[in-house]
Amino acid sequence: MEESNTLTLKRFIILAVIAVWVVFAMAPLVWLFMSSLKTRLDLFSMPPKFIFKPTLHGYEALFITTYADGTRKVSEIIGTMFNSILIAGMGTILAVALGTMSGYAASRFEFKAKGDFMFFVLSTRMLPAVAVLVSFHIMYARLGLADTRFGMILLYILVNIGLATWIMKGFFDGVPRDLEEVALVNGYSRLWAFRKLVLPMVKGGIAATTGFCFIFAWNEFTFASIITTTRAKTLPVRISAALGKEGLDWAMVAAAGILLIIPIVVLFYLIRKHLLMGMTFGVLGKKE
Amino acid sequence: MDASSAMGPGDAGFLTRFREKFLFLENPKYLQHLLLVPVLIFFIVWNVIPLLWLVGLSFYKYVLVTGEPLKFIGLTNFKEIFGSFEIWHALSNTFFFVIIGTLSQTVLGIILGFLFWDSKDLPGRRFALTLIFTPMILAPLATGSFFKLIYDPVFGIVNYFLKSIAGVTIDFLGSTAWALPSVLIVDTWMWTPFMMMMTLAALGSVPKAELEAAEVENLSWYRRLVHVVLPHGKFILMLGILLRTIDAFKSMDIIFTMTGGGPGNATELIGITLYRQAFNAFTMGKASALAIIALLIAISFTSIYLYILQKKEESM
Repeated sequence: MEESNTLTLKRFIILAVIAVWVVFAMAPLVWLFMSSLKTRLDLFSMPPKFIFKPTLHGYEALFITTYADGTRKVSEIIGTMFNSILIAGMGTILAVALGTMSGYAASRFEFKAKGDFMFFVLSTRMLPAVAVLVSFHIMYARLGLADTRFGMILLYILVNIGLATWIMKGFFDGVPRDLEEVALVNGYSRLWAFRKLVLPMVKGGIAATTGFCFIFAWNEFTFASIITTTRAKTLPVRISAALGKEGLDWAMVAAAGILLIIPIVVLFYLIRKHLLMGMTFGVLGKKE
Repeated sequence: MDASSAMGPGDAGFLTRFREKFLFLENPKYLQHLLLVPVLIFFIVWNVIPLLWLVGLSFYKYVLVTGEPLKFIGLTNFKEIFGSFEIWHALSNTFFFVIIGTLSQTVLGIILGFLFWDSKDLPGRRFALTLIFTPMILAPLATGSFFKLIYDPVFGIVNYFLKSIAGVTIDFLGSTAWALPSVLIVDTWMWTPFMMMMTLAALGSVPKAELEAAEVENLSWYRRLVHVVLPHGKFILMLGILLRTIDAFKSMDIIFTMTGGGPGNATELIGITLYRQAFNAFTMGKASALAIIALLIAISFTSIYLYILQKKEESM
């Protein structure tokens, strides 16, 4: 009897701690979402209102600019969103494609310094963003790539390719080599074996890599804030600019925050199984 | 593998001829190099060129906007950095931030990881996991800006609760004493799930039989961690701590959004100082010198850490 009591108590404690952390993790997000639906009055009211009449004022302010003379125009945020989608999307697709190729090579072929692969990934992480940024700032200005979408896509391919290679190598390591060996012996080409045999087996890995690359590219702020100024401006840069203004419209900022995190959250929930696997694979690889 | 997709290499017509021309590429000797070219380019553009650039620039006086030509000044940049109180202050802030942040995230992450591992039959466990992992994937800029809203001294929700419970209000991000701890809480909110995930991965790498044996023997958590999980999952856990340390050392964007390094220089981390030197003051030479120092710190830490890890492994 006593034992089952302590067991229930233990279960209860576990449950309580987990519940507390779930609330801690989600409360800021829920509060942000509520704030984005409030009027200015509700937003600043003390005590804070938990029940209120939701308005879309914040979102309206985000998408439609009202000028002093009363004319209303679709705000530049549409173009910024287009930039973000194009840059993050193209950057992701290409980084995943190239990373898959390199990851396959890293997994299957022997080459010099292969053992240092782990350290290679770590070393790219150690360089402070600003260190890379200084050289990119100067390089991009010289090459005419500053503030271009093409330059940003290139940048995000470069940012992501190391991690993409690393994660994909982990997934390829999990596919038995015999599979291709048999195909090769039977006269099929390696590319054929790669395409038809190996690739279908690492679908999950590709999903995970895509998720990572997109999350990074979509969220990235430090590089974008320096490299882009007007034409290729991405969402985070735009929101940061809005943050600096006086007389801040917090409902609009909250709406912008929601706009920024929704695609990522949806993506995360869709491929979370692969993503979590990739996260552990990505930092783990296979310990050889 | 079904029969239709196992048809083989014989696509007819000009495609075959086209392919034959490039068949030499399928020779593993060429193929492996061809496939590795993207990573090589990445490595050169992302590591080699910036490094060379940094080392070169660090010996020059180079102010970006004035259009002055580069001027070689030897080690003056480094001397200035070592003599600068602000930079020492930023470094000590950074060490505080890294040590306290990584430590609390690791401890909390391990506790939460163990709790989750023990609650396999809990209803809604997967959903709870998904929710807990969410903060990790959010844009630092969004996170920073809405914590600014939450921490606000006048209409922030935290201060409302604080006032109704303790009767005081605290200007979290605006007071020198509270700014760094407040920023640390946000960092912990965001990155504890990462350490939790690493703990789960470490637990997952332990052979099932050993875990069950530990359960039968009713070992305490501490003993399970030291005697069962660490021998197998140490590599994963230590890697998690290492990655967290490096990232915390470099971190800037969330804090930059929340406080901009302020008030005064209470939350000035080395990452923020770097950014400011390079893109607010445009003193690229000095920023490069500082970046080299930061990189050397990160490299020496990682090397020592990996060295100790290997030494321990050998002695075990």
